[in-house]
Amino acid sequence: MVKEKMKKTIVILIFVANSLIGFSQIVVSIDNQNTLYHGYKNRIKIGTMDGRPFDLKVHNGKIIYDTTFVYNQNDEPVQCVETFLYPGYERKTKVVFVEPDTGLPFDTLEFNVKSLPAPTISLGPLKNGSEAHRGTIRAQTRLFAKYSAEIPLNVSFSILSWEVSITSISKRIVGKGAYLTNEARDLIRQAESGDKITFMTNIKHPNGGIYRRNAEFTVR
Amino acid sequence: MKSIFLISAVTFLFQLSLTAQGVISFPEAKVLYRNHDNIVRIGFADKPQDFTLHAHGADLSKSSEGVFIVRPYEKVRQVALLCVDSKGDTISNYLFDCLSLSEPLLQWGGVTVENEYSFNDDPFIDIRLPSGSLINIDYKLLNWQITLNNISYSGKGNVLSENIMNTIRNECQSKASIDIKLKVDYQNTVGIASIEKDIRVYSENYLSNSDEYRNIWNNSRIVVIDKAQNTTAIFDESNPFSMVSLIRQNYIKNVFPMSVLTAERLQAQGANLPIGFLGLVSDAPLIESDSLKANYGLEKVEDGNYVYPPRTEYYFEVNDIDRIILFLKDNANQKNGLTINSISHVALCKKFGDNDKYDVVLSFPFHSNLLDLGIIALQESDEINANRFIKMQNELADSTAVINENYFFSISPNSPNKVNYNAGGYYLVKNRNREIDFEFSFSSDLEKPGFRPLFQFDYDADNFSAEAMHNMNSFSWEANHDIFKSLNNAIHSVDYDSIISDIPLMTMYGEDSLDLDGNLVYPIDYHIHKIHFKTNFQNQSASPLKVVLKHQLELNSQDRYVFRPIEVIYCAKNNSNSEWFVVASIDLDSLKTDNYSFLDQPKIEWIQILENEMKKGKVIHLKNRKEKGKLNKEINIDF
Repeated sequence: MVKEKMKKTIVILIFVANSLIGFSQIVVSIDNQNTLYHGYKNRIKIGTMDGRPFDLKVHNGKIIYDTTFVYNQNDEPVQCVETFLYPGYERKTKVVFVEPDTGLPFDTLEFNVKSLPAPTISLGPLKNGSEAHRGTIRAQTRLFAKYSAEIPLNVSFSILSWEVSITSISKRIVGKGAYLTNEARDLIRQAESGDKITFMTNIKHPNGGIYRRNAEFTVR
Repeated sequence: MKSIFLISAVTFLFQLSLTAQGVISFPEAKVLYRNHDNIVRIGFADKPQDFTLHAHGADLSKSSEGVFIVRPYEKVRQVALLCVDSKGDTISNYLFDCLSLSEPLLQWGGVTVENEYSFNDDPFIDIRLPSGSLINIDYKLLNWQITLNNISYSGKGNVLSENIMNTIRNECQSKASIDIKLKVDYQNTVGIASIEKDIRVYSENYLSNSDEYRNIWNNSRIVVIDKAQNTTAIFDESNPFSMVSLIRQNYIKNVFPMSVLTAERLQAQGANLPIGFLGLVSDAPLIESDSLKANYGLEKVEDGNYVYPPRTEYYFEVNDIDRIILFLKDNANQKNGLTINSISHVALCKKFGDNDKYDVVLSFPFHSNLLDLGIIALQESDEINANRFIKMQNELADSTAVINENYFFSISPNSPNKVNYNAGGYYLVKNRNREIDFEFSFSSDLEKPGFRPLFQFDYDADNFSAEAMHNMNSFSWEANHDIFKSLNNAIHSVDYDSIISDIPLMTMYGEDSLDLDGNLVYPIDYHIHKIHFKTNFQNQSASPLKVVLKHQLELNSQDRYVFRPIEVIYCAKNNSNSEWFVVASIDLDSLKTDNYSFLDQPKIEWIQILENEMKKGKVIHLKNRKEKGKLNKEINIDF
C-alpha cells in the first residue's frame, strides 16, 4: 500500500517537473561528466541515441522515474526524460537501460558517487584565504557559504554560527546566522596590517549535516 | 574574442543502424572544459530526428554517429550548442559554461600531498582531479622518481618499489621526518605532464619510537588525571561538554594510536586489544577503511624475510580508559611577551591486566583539536592551562543538559512567494551558564519549479521511525520536510517537538561516516517525531497528515499539455480513527499575485473533485468527496 502511494507520488513529481521546467526531446550529455552527489537531488535527463523506448534499472541508487508519457502537439505520447537520481552509499552507481518489453539490457552507464564538495566561506566578496585592505574588510557585514563558479551545483548552505578572532588580539566573538554582530565588527575594526582574521563557522549542508569550516582573511 | 562569433556546424542525420546507447545528462552542470576534447553525445527522449548541430564559441567535429567533439575556443566563457532542423528552426539550444581544467593533485596512500606527508606505509601513488570537479578523468601515471639523501630511485606505474619503501621505512624508524623530492610523469588529456614536489615526510606511524615523541615524554611536565579518583566531569560521557564526550563526538585529527611495539608486548601478555574507531573518519571513503584489517605480528614476505606489518590501529573507546595525561608546554604569548603554561598533548592510558604501569593507548595534540572541539570558545585567552581546564571540567560536574529547540515558519505579506524558515534553540548544562546556541534561517521560493509540497504523501507520526526513514527513499523524506514547512506557512506558527535520536548529543553527523562501533552512519540530522499545533488547530496534536495537490491539465504556450498546480490542501486526523479534516489550503494562483495573505484561522474548505480533461481517458480526480467538512476516506489521485 505504501509503495503504491509512493509510486503515485513519483508520477506526480515527474509531471510537475516536466510541466514547469519545460520538455526537451534531445538529450545532450558530456562523456566523463558522470558524477552523482550524496544527499543531493541529482537532476538528470535520459534518452537513447536512437530514440528507442527504455526502462531503467539502477544499481546502488534510486531513480525517481516512471514510464509516464505526456503528449506532444501531434497527440503522440512522449516519454518522460527528466527526472532525479539519488545514489546509494557505494562509490559507483550503475544505470542499466533495458528493453521495456523483454527486460533485456542494451546499455549500462556508470557514475562516480561523491560527497558534495565543501563550500567556500566568503566575507562579503572576499574569498577564504584572500588579502584585502583594512577598509574593505571593515566594510563587510556578512558571511557567505557557497560554491565558486567551478562547481555549478544548485546547493544552498546556511551559516548557523561563527566565531571570529584576530591574531593580535586575545578575544573571540561568537555570533549566529550569517550576519556579523556589532561586537564582531568592532573587533575586526581593531585589526592592523598583517593581522589574520579567522572565522570558524558551523554550516548546515542540504543533507542535514552540520559542518565546521574555517576561513581566514589577511589585512593588507 | 572574435572567435566567439565563429560557428561550427555538423549535420546529424539519424541512421537506423545506430547502436542503441543510453544517454544521461545533468541539466544543472552544463560545463565544457577548455583545452580538452569534450565528447558530446546526443540522444533522444522519443522519436529521433535529423538536425544540424551548431556550436558557437567552439570547434565542433563529428566523432561517430551521435557523438561529437567540442573544443571551446581560448578565452571563451560560454559555448552554445544549437540543434537546427532542416527548415532552419532551432529545435533545442544548450548553453555551456567554459571552465579550465583544474590542476590534478598528487596522492600518496590515498592522501593528497602538497609539501607534507605522514608516512603510512602505503606504496600507491595517484594523480587525481580535486574533489569538487565535475569531470572524471583517469590520468595514467607513467613514471615516478624519488630523491632521498641525494640518491634517486625511480620506477614505472603507480606503485613505489619495495626498495624505496624500505628505505623510507628505515629512515622513519630513526627520524621524526625526512625530506624527499617526488616527481611523477602522467598522461593527461593533451600529452605527458609532470608534477614535482618537495615533501617533508613525517614518521608519525612510529611516533612512540621517534625522537619527537620521546622529547614530549621526557621534557614535558605532565598532569595525571586518574578516572578512579576523578571528581570532575572529564570522564563523564553523559555530559556533552566533558572532555571524553567532546573527544568522542568529534573527529580528532592527528590521532596517534598505540605503537606497534606496545601492541606486540601486550598481545604477548595475552591482552585482548580492541580495534575500533575514535571519532568520525569524515573524509575517508568508507571502502578505504578496509586497511584496518591488517594482520598483527611479524609477517613473512615472499623472499622469506620477516618484516614489520603495516601499523595496527588499536583505537580505544574513551570509556575504556583509566587515566588521562595532559602534557604541558610553555608558550610565549607573542602579543604581551608573557609565558603561558598550556597543554600540548593529551594521552589516554589504560592499565592492562596486572601490569604496574599504564600504557598509552592513544594520544593527540591538544590545542589544535580542542579548537575543533569548541572548548576554546569557553576561553578568553588563546592558551588553555591545565589547572583552568580541570577547573572548567569540574564546573561541569552536574551533567544534566537541557535541550530546547524551536522551529518557525512564516510567509511575509510583503513577499508572498517566499517561505521564511527559522529555527533556533540551545543546549544548556545546568548549574552553569553555558549554552550552545544554534540558529539558522532561510527562505525558499514557492514558485520554484518542482516545489516539493506539490505532491501527495502520507505521514504517520506514530509509525515514523529512524528505520522507516532509512527505508523510504530520500525523496519522500525531503518531501516530508518541505511539506511541514508549507503546512506551517498556512497555520502561521508551529512548535515542533523534536528529538535527536541515534545520535549522541551535539554530534554533528553529515557525510557518510562511521560511528564508534564502526557502523555506517547515514547523514541524518534531526528526527522529528511529533508535531504540536500551537494555535489555531483545535488545540490538539494532529497526526497523521495528508497533503493533496489540486492541479489541472492545460495547454501551454508551446501547445503542450502541462499540469498546472492550483491548490495545496492540508488534511489531518485527530487520531488514527478519525476523519480527515482540511486544516489549511494554499491557493497557488494567489501566491503569484499581491493578494495573498496567510491564514489567520485554518481555512476549512471542501476538497473538490478535480476532473479535468486528460487525453486517452486518463482522468485525475479526487475520490470520495463527502458532504462539507468531512472526508471519510483517504484521498487518492488516480491515473
